[in-house]
Amino acid sequence: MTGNPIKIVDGIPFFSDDQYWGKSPKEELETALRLIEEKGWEEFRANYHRKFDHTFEENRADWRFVAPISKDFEVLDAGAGMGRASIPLARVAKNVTALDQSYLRMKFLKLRAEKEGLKNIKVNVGDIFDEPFEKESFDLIVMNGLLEWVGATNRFNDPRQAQLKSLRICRNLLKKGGCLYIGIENRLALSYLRGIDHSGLRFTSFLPRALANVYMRLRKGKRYDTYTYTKRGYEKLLREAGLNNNVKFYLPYPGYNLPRMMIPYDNLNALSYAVRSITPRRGLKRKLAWFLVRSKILLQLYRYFFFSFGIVVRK
Amino acid sequence: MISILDKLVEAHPEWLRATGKPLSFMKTSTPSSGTKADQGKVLIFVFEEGEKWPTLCVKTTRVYSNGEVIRRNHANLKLLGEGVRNSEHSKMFARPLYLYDDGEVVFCIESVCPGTRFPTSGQDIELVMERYIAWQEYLAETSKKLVQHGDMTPDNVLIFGKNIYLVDYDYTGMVELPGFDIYNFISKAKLSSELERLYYDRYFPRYFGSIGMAVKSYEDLFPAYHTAEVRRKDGQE
Repeated sequence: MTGNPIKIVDGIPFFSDDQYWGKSPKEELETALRLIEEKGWEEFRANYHRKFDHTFEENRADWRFVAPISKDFEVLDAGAGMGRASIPLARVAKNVTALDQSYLRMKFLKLRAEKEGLKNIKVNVGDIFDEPFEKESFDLIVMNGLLEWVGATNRFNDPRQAQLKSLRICRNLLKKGGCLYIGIENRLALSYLRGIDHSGLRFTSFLPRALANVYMRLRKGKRYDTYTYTKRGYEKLLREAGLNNNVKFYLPYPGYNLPRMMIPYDNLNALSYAVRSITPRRGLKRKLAWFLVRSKILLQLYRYFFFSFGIVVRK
Repeated sequence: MISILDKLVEAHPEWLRATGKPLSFMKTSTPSSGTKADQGKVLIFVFEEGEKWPTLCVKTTRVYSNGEVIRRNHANLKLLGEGVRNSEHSKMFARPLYLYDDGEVVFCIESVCPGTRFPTSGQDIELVMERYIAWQEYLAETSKKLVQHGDMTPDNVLIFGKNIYLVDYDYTGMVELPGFDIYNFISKAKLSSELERLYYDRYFPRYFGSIGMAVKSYEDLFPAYHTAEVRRKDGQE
């Protein structure tokens, strides 16, 4: 299934050079990994609670309940990180191939898989653009929180072209009838009014790309390359990548990284039902929610500005 | 699982409100569900296009090894259904439709209980208690065993017009101590202690009277209810 690695370290094949990323410094993860190997997971839990972007929760890949997956599936978790999707997926698939640019994150996932007794997770260090796998190898490919970052590569001048290329690579890696799952933010997410965009700055996703680029260069000294889109934008991107067969959009609540709900985008009644089920039993929030669900136009607007999308695409 | 479900629904058009309408699926679970692999259930609601309420509720688990909770839920719902067959009380529960278990995937399919979450107003408490006591009275008259819901917290009560629905059947039949459901419901409704006392005084005598039991002081039962709740969660009842 895989090509020839450039090297193997601690049993982990490298298809590209190691490139660390993460919210904590590299040295901190190195120290944590040593602690796991020397003193075990309980010590790690005690010392590094909420320190890295890992989780022991098993509900982070719950989008799988609206996507096809079974015990005979070969799954690729592209941009696997510390394994928040790989671990739960490995419990229900034949094999999970995890790919990430960071050796330390893959080493963490390898140790986690060993701890969980999951022998069907294969970790790999690599960049999706190096195409480390054979064509038509996978039944399901996961790009959960990846597509918005692939434009940050220096291999393409245009971030959108990088995103298109990564989607085309995934299309080639999928078996016929296979499925691609994308978890990603909505460019117009209302929550961006309060928080920061992937760029590290406020409001960049709302701005026209050229303006966001100028703003980014002024403030951060580099280009704006973490593109997100509206639903229509993602549809166009997928169409151009040749992935326009049976595209289904979902609204993950509260977000694609914790999909407690996967609400079918096209069914406003389902959205109304979801809103009614999560509102408190009394109070102002309940009144507001009930006002919202009574109006089709307000529901459509709410959907338009929802935080993120879960996209299921068939090849 | 979604493809198996799709085929099953296609083979059973009698489960649906109409034929030929496109279906969509909505996954949901509670915030605490799935913090561990073998913990909690996952629900999938099946919507028919144009319908305000979902038609079917599918319950499953994240790992097959935890499937007992689904089998039990399905069996409990059948137990509830048998006790109220052909009576107006059957409207208080979902209908069990199917249990799928192929050794790798397990899920059960039920009809959906429409309705909104219990809003905890006095008027609604009266409605819930009236319907609940009428159901228990019916069971006391017609059945050998007084089956209780076992987890009748306000979260598991839905209101739809003048009807109530009791959902989540994991603990049905596990507690045999009469009055447990009423204690569970009122004590978890987040009421002031005065209101709580008022409702206990109002509904316990009505409940015990309706099932033909004489109880001198319902308050003497509270420690037993508390123990029953702890043991029920541990699966010891």
